Amino acid sequence: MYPSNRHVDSIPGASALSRRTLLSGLAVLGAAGLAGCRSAVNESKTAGATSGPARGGTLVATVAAPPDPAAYFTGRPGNIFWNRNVLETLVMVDQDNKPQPLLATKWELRDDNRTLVLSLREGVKFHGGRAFSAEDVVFTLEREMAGDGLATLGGAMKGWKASATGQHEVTITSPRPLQEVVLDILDSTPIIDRETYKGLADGSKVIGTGPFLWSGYKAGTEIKMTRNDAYWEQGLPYLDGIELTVIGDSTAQLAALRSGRAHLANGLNIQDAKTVVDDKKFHLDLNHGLVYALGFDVTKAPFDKPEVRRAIGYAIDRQRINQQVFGGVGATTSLPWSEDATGYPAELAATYAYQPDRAKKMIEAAGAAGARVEIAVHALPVPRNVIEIVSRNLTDVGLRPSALELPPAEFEPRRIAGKLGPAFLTWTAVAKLPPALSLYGYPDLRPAKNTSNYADAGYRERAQALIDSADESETAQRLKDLSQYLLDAAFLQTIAIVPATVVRADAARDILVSRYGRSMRAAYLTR
Amino acid sequence: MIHFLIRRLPSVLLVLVATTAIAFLLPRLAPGDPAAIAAGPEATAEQVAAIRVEMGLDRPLAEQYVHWMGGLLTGDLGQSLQFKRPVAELIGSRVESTFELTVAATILLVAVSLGLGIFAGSARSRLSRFTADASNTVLLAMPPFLFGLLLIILFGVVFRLLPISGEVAVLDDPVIGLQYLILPAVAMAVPMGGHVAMLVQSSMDNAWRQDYVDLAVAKGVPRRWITLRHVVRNSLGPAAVTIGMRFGDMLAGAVVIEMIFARNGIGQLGVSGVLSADYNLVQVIIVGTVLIAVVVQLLTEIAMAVLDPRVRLGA
Repeated sequence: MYPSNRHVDSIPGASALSRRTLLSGLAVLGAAGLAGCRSAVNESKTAGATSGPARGGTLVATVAAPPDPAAYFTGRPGNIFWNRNVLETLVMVDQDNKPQPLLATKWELRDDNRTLVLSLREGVKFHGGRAFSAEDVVFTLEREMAGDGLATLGGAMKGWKASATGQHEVTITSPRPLQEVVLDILDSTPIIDRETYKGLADGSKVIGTGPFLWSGYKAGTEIKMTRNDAYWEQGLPYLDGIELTVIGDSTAQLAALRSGRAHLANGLNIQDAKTVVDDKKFHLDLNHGLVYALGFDVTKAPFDKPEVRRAIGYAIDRQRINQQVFGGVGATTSLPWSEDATGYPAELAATYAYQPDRAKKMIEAAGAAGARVEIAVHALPVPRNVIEIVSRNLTDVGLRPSALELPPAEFEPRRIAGKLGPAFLTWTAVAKLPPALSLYGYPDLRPAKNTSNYADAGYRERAQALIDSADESETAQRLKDLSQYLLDAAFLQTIAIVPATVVRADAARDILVSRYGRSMRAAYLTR
Repeated sequence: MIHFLIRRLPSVLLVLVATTAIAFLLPRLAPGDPAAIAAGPEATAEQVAAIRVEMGLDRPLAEQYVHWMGGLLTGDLGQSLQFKRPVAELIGSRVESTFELTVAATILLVAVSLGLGIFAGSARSRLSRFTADASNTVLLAMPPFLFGLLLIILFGVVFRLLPISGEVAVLDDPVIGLQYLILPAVAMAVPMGGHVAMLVQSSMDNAWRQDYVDLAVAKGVPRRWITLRHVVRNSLGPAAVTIGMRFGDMLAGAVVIEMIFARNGIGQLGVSGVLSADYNLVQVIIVGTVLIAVVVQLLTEIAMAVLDPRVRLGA
């Protein structure tokens, strides 16, 4: 062992330069180097216009789920920032449920609402340079009816015939009245280029008529869009481009917003979103959203008894779930439709108010007290939080609940096959969809082959009656009838309708919001 | 060295073949249906069935395995079920990100752990010892994700000195790319440095008690010379092995660090593949990871032989 107090000689070959001098010199050099360097922090702040609509800037948006160009006829969360900017629809239904004309300039219902005549915009070109015409609309509708692009509303289009009745006119005929559903279906239908649409499957070629060109794509990572200088509306878009990046983690999305990297974030949980939203620098934009519901397999005890299913409706403390899990932004209701649905039966919305004592008595009367109840749930934070409260509620009324957490890769196949078990918590992006369309697009509500295995002639008849409603008064009457039947059958207990949330930096303005995406055609950035 | 590598070749090949079988079966044994995931929750059973046929999942497992192995041997890694793009292209587009992060973190790990370990192993004063021990303890107790979040708050939110979200390839823009790399690499490497530093310290403590050190001292060799030439060199073997093992940990740790710093590397691709039951992607990532581990193990053995002449390759 070396003596600890021994004088230490310098090692052979060591420089005569003292350590202090060397370190000082390095520090000065480092500081000078840093001062002269470009800063990634400064460069990540995207420049924009000073105020008001003006050209320039790149809007940066983040999504939690990877974009899926193959699912072009859906409103997948990963697609909301690119789909309506590269592809365009005939009409876009905004967050106030008002149809905004895009590639169709006007539309008219005829023949007892069974025919729709669309007048198309002239002078529109696809990004490849080909002129847009009625044939493209017919082609697109046929692809959607065939189930391409993972279309989910094809069932509602069964029997439709679309034909080009002029170079810029399309006529759609349907065996059923169209007034309730047709604009929402067209809102879900971006017009695709019949010459290149196969490139949508893998994102290799994405051609539309939208305000931005699909200029770069790394699967699962990012999409770059640049301004379409040949866009049909003069002067638009204002932005130079849009960058879409995938950030799966809520905390990391928060960091992207706070650091100024991103202007829009979709995928933050509500608790994280509220830490940054101050209505000055950041805003919380709400639209459409999800229906959270507790479903039951009616072939499995104890849920083969309608009394037990109804009792659970009274057992769930919806207000508490809304406040604790959804931050109070949701709407608690017993109905799976939104308040702006035609003829919405508001008087039925509170049918299942929180009455635990009543629920307990009903469960005892049905002989289900002490029954074990397994509830299948997505292994994700929000559903997990909901089910914690639901489990407490069910315990309070005499049941013995347990959660069966399933990863999405297992939950969805079981849901489609109707094999989720006796009870399950689902969340589905059908809020504000017309009820007649929900009966096709909402798997838990379908009259046939639904998640609950509920097969009932009375339910099927009422559902079909609603779909076949000829006008608003008939729709209102039949919706009330169906709603009452649904509440009595209680195979699905709606918990809350929760809007989708996007955190938006104040610098990003005039973004058009629809169910299936955000259009940046008139959006701009302020400094 | 060539003889060593040739001798190891059969066992390496055996490991890789066994890995392909496990990597092929493992994702398929887990519950989940990629066709249903791709079809989405609103799909009908008919749509799911059609997608399953399109993906080739209706074929017998043996046929799928033989088809995949045939592709592997001819350089075709297959097609991602989730993204419908070649797996090679997906991995290729992410590998630079992970490679940059892992290399930067490894360099930092070597610098921090050896620096701290040698400092601790050579410290003579009580204050130096205390400082070294306290630093080691803090690093050992600090998980990378927590350290990463602290760095984000400190350098990205409070002082805004460095970027905390995203990435720029170092080869595309070295000045900006390196700035994006600093915080994630530090977050990943520094907490791991504590363990290696302690190993170096204890090895050095042991080496200081060896006869050859006493002999050198008796001959009047300067302390710094003894430290560098005899003590440090003979103490680095265990550190080299541990750093090699930590390389694998870093690949695994990259998943978390990539997530909190919003970097899209192989780790995030793997997570996405698992969540969407993308068998074709996951199986290639598993085989690739095992291949890297095997290569790192070989390199570690070579490094040990270089560091310590008593170690003979393959002996």
